[in-house]
Amino acid sequence: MNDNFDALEQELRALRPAAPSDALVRSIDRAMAAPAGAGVAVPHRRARAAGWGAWAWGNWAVAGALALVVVTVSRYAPPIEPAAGAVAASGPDYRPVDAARFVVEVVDEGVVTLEDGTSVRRVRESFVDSLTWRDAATNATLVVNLPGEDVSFQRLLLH
Amino acid sequence: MESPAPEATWHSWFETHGARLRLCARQWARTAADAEDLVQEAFVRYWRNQRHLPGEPLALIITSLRRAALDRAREQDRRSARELAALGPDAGGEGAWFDGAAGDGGRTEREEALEAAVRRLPAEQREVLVLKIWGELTFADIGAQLDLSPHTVASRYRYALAALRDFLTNDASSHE
Repeated sequence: MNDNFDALEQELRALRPAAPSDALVRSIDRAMAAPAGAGVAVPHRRARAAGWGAWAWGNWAVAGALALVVVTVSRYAPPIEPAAGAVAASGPDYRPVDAARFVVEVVDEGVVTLEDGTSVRRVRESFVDSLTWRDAATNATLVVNLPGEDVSFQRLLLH
Repeated sequence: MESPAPEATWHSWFETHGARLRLCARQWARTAADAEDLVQEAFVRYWRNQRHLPGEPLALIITSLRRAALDRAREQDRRSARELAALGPDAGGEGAWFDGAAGDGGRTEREEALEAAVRRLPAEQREVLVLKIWGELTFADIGAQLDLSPHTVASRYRYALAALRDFLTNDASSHE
């Protein structure tokens, strides 16, 4: 079997991924311009309403429990002993190994009307994003838990 | 790739890397609109809250992208089949995955054939190919993303290239 794929790889690398749409860039612009913690209502797209203050007390309890579990697990992960004579790396080399979203609560807020007159269902989702990095040499693990809230607008099927 | 400098604007970073993020998202998402939503979520989250964290920015954002794409696919599976049918196959706008190298909005027949072949790949081969070629991740990084050994990743990559070559060869023969 001819395993020489050099020419094909070169052709593939020459392909230029399509640029993001102007609409996406404008949407990101709005999101970046919004103050931290404020919601950005974007018709037909998910609106982010990340704010610690908007959370119900129950959600904080769940997030706290998750954080405790994750910190406990990483603290007790057995370290990998370096081989005798091994030279220590100049610093930690963390690489992302996992990203998970734990959904805490989903609330159907009912039908709303957007700026353009479209009727959609508004759904609010509270979650915790958990990001994990690991240094393979030392097995050191870094976990970051970020609570957030998403508001999405789902199209209705109307007859 | 180092973390963006504190004074860098998101515009300049996104101008350099946005297309690759969009491609990575697109091959996991069901529609082009979903892919752009995923890119926005992951990128804004990274730029606002995670720039100071260690690790390669592109790898970190891709990790978030993949997880969000899987979550969204599960969510869409749970939604009413009738609602999804009402959206139609092109509701999100399909659009091309790649632009033409000439930059004039047109594409050669070969470029179109390459994209069609990439789209035909099995999902598990396609994601390795996209992350390797356009995400510029190493086999080790891809393995960490997908919870696979680098050896398995390398094997899927070779299988993907072999499959692409078969598609392109067979398509060329059928047009003769």
